[in-house]
Amino acid sequence: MHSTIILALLLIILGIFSLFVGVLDVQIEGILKGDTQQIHTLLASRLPRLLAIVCTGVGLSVAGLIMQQLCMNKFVSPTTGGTIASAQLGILIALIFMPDSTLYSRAFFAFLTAMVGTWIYVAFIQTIKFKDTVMVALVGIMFSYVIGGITNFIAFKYDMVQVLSTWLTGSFSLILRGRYEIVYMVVPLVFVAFLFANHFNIVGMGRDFSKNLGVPYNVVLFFGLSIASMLTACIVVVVGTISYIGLIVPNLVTMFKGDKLQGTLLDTALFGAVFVLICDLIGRALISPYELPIELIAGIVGSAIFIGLLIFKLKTPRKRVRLAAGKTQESCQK
Amino acid sequence: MKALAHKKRILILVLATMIFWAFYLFYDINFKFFEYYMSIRLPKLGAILITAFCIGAATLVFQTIINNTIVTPCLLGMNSLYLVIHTTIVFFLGSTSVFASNKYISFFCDLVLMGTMATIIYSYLFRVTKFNVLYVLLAGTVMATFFLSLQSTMVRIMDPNEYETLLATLVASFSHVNADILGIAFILVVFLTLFYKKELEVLDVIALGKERAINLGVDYDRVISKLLLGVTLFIAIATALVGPISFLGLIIANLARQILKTYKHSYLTLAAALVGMIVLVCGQLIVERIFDLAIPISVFVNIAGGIYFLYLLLANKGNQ
Repeated sequence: MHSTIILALLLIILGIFSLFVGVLDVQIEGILKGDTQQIHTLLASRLPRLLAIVCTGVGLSVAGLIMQQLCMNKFVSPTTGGTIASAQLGILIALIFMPDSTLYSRAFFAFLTAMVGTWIYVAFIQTIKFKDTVMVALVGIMFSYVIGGITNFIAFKYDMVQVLSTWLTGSFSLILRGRYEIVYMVVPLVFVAFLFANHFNIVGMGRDFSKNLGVPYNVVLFFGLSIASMLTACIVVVVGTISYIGLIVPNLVTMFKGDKLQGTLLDTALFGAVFVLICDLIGRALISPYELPIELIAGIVGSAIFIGLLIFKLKTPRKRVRLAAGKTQESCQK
Repeated sequence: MKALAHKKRILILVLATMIFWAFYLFYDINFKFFEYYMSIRLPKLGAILITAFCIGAATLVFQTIINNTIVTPCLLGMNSLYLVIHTTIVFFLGSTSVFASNKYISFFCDLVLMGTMATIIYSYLFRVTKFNVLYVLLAGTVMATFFLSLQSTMVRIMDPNEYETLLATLVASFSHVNADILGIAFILVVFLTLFYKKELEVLDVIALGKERAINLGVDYDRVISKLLLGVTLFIAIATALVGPISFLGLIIANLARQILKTYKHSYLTLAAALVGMIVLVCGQLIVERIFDLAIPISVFVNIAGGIYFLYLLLANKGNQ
């Protein structure tokens, strides 16, 4: 419980701090004095940004956690499962075929493609039954390459490469009141994930095991993956792509807290939010008054942590490896 | 009998390659400007030839070393390493410095930097993971993201004019190959191939697996580390010449294996190079004739390569 409280406090402190970082001056005295300009900046830009950051961190890391639990593999995540790539394809299709599409219709397309992409990927890894857990991640990355290739092809064909690249690089700089509210979809979805945490846990123990306990394996799998895809899609539509949050955050948390979903879900959500917030603060501070998109910072920090994690796992004795990468093999072979 | 069948198939491949070459060189040509056409098309063909051979051979050797036929050295993230090195040079020294503007120096710069960096990084990774290739590949793909993030961070801060000149070298393309560099690359490839003659001869033995190879008298660790360096250098040459082109190796090495169904690396390398030329010439024709250079060739190679990879996984499921 301690870790949860510490993370929550950290999130609150950093969150309040982040409200006062930016180009336009916003200060506590100003707000208290009722300076309309400052209050307006706070309400129209800073607060939406903070909320979007929190939702993004929570959503992506919970999506990653659910996917890892359901697929019984620590290397599965929205990035390495083709979910993000599929959502991008959906957005591109919406942009091309419905030029006057609203944010909501784009989100709808992204939902659809993200779900279909994730289902295909999971069906694929389940038919093949890899002996090696790492292979699952490699296949996912390959799968993302293929979908990304198709997206690129369409983009080149319709001359949308530049539009696409601005659309897809994850960034909070365009988050303003009225343009980001879809991100709130994260809240009910995470709530549902909390309710069904037990079911996901059981499904994570394998098909036979869940059948014995009377849990409909396929239905729960389908349902869980859909929730993860929707979480990812509504973030990709508003914020853009952010790699590795869904992979790294759940791994770091389960390394310390074990695999029981109910115990880790809250911590993962909080830690994800803190992680994204810190990355965003770095991005804002590095070349201020300009800012770097979150995708770049998260990409650098995330992949560095991931490689460090990998090397750490390999260097420490076998027991630790089991704990972190474990129990995937026997269930995959069934 | 078997060797004869292989030779026959290779002969067919050679013929097919020749036909594609001829088609590429002479299609839609105006004989009034024969020399002008040739001066444009021949260097492209030369670049295709060297790329196909380098990537085909490197992929085959890599697959044999790690005993897995569905991986490619491109997954190690060398392409993004190239991007990041190139961008760093322009970022810190400017596009007008000799390292970026002089074609020879920039070619060698790419080659040396990529060679040393890749060797240091991957030999460390191989050591840490105790030669567990899947972990190295995973680390490689993640590192690719790392390099790409670094690169795009630099691009974001960069002067737009500099970026314009940089962009041309970042996308794989056969459209503006410098004929002089082609010569240097060719000499390098020949030299490297001769240098690796002895190691290449024992590849057939290495394919049997580590224990058997050692029993048969191969100095396994030394040969492997030397070969890995060779793989890195070959990829570096191909990338420095035309730009990053992932998944090509996967397609051509596996097609060569499927066509020949042999384990003899002398045949396989030849077949991979030939298939590579056919694939690249076809790709280049599609890019030039159908899409008017609007879509880079790497997009096609990526889509085709990825789908082929997934197909291969399905086809020999259970073996991986």
